[in-house]
Amino acid sequence: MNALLKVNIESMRYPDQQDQGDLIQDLSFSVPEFTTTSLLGPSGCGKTTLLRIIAGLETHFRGQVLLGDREVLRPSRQIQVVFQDSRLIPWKTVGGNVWFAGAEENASQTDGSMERALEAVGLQGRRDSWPRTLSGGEEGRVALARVLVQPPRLLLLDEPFKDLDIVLKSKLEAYLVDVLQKNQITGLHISHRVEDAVFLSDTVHCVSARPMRISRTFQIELPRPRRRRDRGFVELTDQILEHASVVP
Amino acid sequence: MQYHRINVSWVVPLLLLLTWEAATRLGCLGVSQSAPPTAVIKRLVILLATGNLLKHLALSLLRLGSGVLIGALLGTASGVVLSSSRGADRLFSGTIQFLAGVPLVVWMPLWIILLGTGEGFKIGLATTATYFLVHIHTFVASRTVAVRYIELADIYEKTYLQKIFHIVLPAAIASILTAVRISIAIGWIVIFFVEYAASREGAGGIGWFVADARQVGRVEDEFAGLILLGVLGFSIDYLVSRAQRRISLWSDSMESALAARS
Repeated sequence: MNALLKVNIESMRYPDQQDQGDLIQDLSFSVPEFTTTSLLGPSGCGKTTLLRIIAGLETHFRGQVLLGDREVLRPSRQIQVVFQDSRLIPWKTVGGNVWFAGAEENASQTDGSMERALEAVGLQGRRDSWPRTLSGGEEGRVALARVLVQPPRLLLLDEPFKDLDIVLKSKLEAYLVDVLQKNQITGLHISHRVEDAVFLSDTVHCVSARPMRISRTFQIELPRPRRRRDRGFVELTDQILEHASVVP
Repeated sequence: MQYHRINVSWVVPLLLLLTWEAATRLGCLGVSQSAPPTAVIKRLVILLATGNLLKHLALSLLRLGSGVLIGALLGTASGVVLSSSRGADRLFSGTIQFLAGVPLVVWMPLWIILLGTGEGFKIGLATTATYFLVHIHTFVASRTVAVRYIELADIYEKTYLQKIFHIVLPAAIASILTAVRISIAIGWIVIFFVEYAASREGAGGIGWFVADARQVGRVEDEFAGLILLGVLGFSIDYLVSRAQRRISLWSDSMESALAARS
């Protein structure tokens, strides 16, 4: 399969942390088109920084990020992010937030794409609500509606729905898989939770901390929809956990 | 029990007024320096009814309003530009911070040299007071609040102006209004002071009215002007704080979001 994303980072360190060594070193991997890949690593290992590099939000690094055959030099609609917090703009209504994710020229407020996106996540009745009145689950769904207005080629997932309880989180993750498949979006997910990675992804890279490097790769060939209590799921999760626990 | 329904904030001003009344009536305060509140209020009503005082008041308000408005617009504009452009920030921020530290009184002679003692000087001084406050509040708010949403706007490929109007200004508006509120309070003092101390004959304004009354010994007029000043300052502040609350309907969520996630 064609690789949509090719990442090759020689080194990355923040200018104000020169004495602490590289945060990321000789990290290279690619993500095949229409599949989802997870990077699994301990907190603080630089996963979020890597995601910011790929999104074009961080430029302090040596190396190259390619989307298709184009180098990523700045943020764009082609690569969107679902942040840890849903990052809804507090001074815009639910509809306004989703509308803001659309391109001006396709005028998502008049062509109905904003309404369709809200309907797809079951929030058409909350169009005029303020973000502060939403529950955590609704916030997550608005974040997904934002992706649906103008779906990206690559969706970066930074521990999405982190603050939600497990039931709500599983529901949203299942919905997320659905969104990725239906819209043919390639996914790159980062997390420190093995279960989430096994649930979402086709490939899981375990990474070490400081410098961040891939220590081992697992292919997840479980059929979808996946269930967290199935034997195959549990066995694979255990296998990855065992590896992860010996990595420093 | 209905005790706590009574608004107790009236007790202290009433006591003060009573003391004042008693003190003047009993002759504790010299008649030439003071007048009893009842006489002052009676005079205030007459002055308001004839429109004489209102004319001066309108003039002062106009000076204050234009000074604060110009200062707020300039301060917002420079705050937004400097917070969103590293080059402009490096070029101007040091200078602005230095000038912001210069006390208002030091600006006075400069403005007098440049603008004379006419309207330009009075408005310029209120503008100066407002400008630095609003600039700094805007700058800080857009650096701290807007930053996380600017990234979002970058991903959605928004233009510079879209980022300013959809992200930076809404993020800063609550802070800007706080700065305007403080500016009005300071500006009111400044306008009164320059009208009182530095006005030419007949320049008008509430400060001039009070100064004139003082000079010719119309003690009741003097106090009537002062009372009006207090009432107005209080009312303006109340109105701005109401506007502030209206505009930041969403701010609960922003404050809690920042507290929980930063």
